[in-house]
Amino acid sequence: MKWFRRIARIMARVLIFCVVLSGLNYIYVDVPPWERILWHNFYQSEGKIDNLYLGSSHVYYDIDPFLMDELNGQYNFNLSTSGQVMNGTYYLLREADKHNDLSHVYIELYYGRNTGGDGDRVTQEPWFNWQNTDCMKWSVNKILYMLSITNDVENYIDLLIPFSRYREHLGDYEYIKSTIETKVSGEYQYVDEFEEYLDKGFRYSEIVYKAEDRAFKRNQTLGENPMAQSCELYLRKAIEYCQKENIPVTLFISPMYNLQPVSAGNYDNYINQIKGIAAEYGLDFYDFNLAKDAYLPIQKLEYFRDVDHLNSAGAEVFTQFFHKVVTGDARQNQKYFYDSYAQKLQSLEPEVYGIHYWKSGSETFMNVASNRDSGMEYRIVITPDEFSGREPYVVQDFCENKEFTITDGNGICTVEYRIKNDPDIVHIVEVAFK
Amino acid sequence: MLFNTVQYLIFLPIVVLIYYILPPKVRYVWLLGASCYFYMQWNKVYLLLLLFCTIVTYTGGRLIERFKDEHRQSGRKGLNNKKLYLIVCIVLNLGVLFFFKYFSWGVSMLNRVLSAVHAGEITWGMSIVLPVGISFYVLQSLGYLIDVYRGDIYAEKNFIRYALFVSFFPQLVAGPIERSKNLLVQLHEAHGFQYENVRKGAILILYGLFLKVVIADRAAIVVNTVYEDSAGYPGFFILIATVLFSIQIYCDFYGYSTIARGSALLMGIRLMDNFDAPYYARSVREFWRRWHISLSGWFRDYLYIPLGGSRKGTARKEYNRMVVFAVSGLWHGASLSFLFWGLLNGMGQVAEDLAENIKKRLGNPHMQKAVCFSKKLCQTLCTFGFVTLAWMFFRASGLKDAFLILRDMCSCMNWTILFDGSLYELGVARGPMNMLLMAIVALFAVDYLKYKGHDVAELFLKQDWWFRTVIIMAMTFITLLYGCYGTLYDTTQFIYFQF
Repeated sequence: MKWFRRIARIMARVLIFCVVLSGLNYIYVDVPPWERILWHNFYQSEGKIDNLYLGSSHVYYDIDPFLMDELNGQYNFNLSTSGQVMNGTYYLLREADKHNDLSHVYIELYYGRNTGGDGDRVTQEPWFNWQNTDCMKWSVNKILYMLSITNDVENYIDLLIPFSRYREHLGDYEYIKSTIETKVSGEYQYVDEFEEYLDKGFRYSEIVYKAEDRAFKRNQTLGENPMAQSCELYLRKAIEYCQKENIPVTLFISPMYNLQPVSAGNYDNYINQIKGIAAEYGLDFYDFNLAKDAYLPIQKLEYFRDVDHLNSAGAEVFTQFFHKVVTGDARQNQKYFYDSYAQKLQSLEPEVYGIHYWKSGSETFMNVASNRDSGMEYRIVITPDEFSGREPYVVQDFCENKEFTITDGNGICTVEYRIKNDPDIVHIVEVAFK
Repeated sequence: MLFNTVQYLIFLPIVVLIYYILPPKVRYVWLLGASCYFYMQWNKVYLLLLLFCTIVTYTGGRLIERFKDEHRQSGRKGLNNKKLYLIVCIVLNLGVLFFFKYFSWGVSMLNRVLSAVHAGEITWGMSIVLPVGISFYVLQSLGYLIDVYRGDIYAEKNFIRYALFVSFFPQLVAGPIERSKNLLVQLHEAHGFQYENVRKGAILILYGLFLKVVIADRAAIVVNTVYEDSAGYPGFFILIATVLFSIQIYCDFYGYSTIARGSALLMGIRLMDNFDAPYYARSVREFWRRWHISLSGWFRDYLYIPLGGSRKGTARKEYNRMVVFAVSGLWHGASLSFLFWGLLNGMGQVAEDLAENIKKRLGNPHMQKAVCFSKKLCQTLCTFGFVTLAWMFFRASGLKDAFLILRDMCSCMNWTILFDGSLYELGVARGPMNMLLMAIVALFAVDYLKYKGHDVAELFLKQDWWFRTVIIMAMTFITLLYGCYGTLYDTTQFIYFQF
């Protein structure tokens, strides 16, 4: 009897603990509206999904599932989340397969999410995974996903006690009020001035990439086999899972504005690695950055939202071509693509796509992003930010050099370029850097 | 492995669970294994050092015991051998401690002297990493050895049990520096599972975590902000930061000791209480009877008394006291600021003694006057003020730095910062700062009960179930909400781990 009472009291305390914990999670955990509506929508679609598209924001901007429904007559769903890393892809695939009878899985492999991080990419920037785990229903799959987010036992507390991640809002009653209001209202919506969630994990965007925004803050240069080991591990797990469950899987990379792959150094290193993995498993892999303009005329600012996301107009063009490719014959498809990114750049007219740069201390290291290593000449003029009080100055007159360093943090960079043997025709690209 | 980490909160229940599953005869072997694993989380190689000290003192203890018997039988020769072994063991152990803790500092001090007299400097390129807990386990094992020498205890015959005494994980890295009469004896006993021990142990761990992550680590943010830029935060900013440092170091060390006690109690082992409401002390002397009790007791029994204690007149007593506090300062760290801090505390007590003597001579010895509340309060505040001032030398990165901070503190009278919200701009926002202040009030309330002689944990466990539940939940959720842990914060090491 004494022990029964003791156990009952301990259980009562555990129960009180859980109730208070749930209450704190309720008032403090604020899931981003995009993930909130996406997951709500996903669980509502239980049993319906045929084709699943996994990946980062590239997928939810670029693949229009409604158009795809019309094209293939099936139920298509983008289970894509901001910054989705490969462990997220793997566990989201399992989650989708648990709730649906999948006919095909498409995995997007944007290099920005799968490279760098000294091989351990999946445990960095954990909030990209938390936003999923905070919305997923409890299951063994969710627990395994949570454990994969960190390799440091100390971070388990962030997963087990989600409100602990939002403690910077302690005592912020406005924040608590808005979190409660959102949850009480039961509203699931994502509406921006120019963007909207249109069901099935599709973000409809009317934003158009501006010419002056073609200054890309570079984050990495791709070396040999640049895919992070942890990402490769989870990619292989995802592929093997699909093959074990007899679900056809296709790998792809969405189109980016040329400025980004050009700034990545040798982008072909990444493509070759994915090609190798795809060949190993006998999978189809399509990098739509290698698509020929004649078949996918997407390299226009009007189709892009920013340097690496399409807007709704671009999504319409791309989705149609995507459908054509994935439903077509693999051999036939070869004609749509160049063999390598280097080959594609060489086949295009000489052009400057913008600038890419990075900052270190007070210095800004800039590169002209063009599709030629030689044979082009550039004249660079920097117009410093008006608040600096400095006059515009010429960094270099026409010459082949593409790299230069300035000490201005903000301003406008004007690149005039011409072909070395044809000095009369000069093009101008003007971009703002911050 | 720190006590305030998830790793420890996983490690401890596993150790305790297996401890009770195993038959009592082999439990100490399991605890030794767990203790080695615990220590290896810092540095695997330094486990060898711990083993070295253990072997030296174990063998020393056995030999001293042997010659003690010889002494009984043959007289002088046995006594000489006994003393010789004691001295050899002390030299070996202190040699290790000196090498790791003071050698580099000694070389740099020597170089300073050499450069002052324009002589060539000694080049010493090796960087020595201080092994965690070395100051604690060296003193603990030396205490054992002296106890055997004095005949207070018998030498431990079982090496594994002795090794566990030196390396018992709850108190391995920052004490309490246990006496063999307390801990070693308990390691011989079979501790059956007792619900009351587990209950009390869990409460102590929770309270210790509360002290560490809610008070100490939060106060540390303010202290670090101010101390790293004392010129930018002069006057009352430094004063507030220094007061908060007093609270920080207390909660940091007391929190650690409380978790250590709670962890050991889960296994039925009672460690000594290292603190007894020290900030309620009414004199510096009393403060040191209540602060880091295991260290003060060690120095009293193994240094102060052998030096003559108070038996050889007032002057010698005060001299002995200064020696003890100088050693205590240097024990905390190889730096002139620690030495100064120790001497300052010693001088405080000498001054108290002198004042008391003068008062005795001037006053009427027959008149016993009851001490009123206001006087007690005044004495307590003065003691706190003195100790806090001394902590400034403890916290500063050097003696010179400490005097600069002291100068900055006295440079302006910006007392208005106490009311204009400036305190909320020292790295801790309004809400957490208010919670910190409330937690400090709670700490002093609990300490008051302790000061009045209550065993607070026992007192708490006697309360009504609902009351206990409310307090436990409040402490748990305040720790979870306001504690410094997780990816938002760097897990801060316990201050005393560096000693």
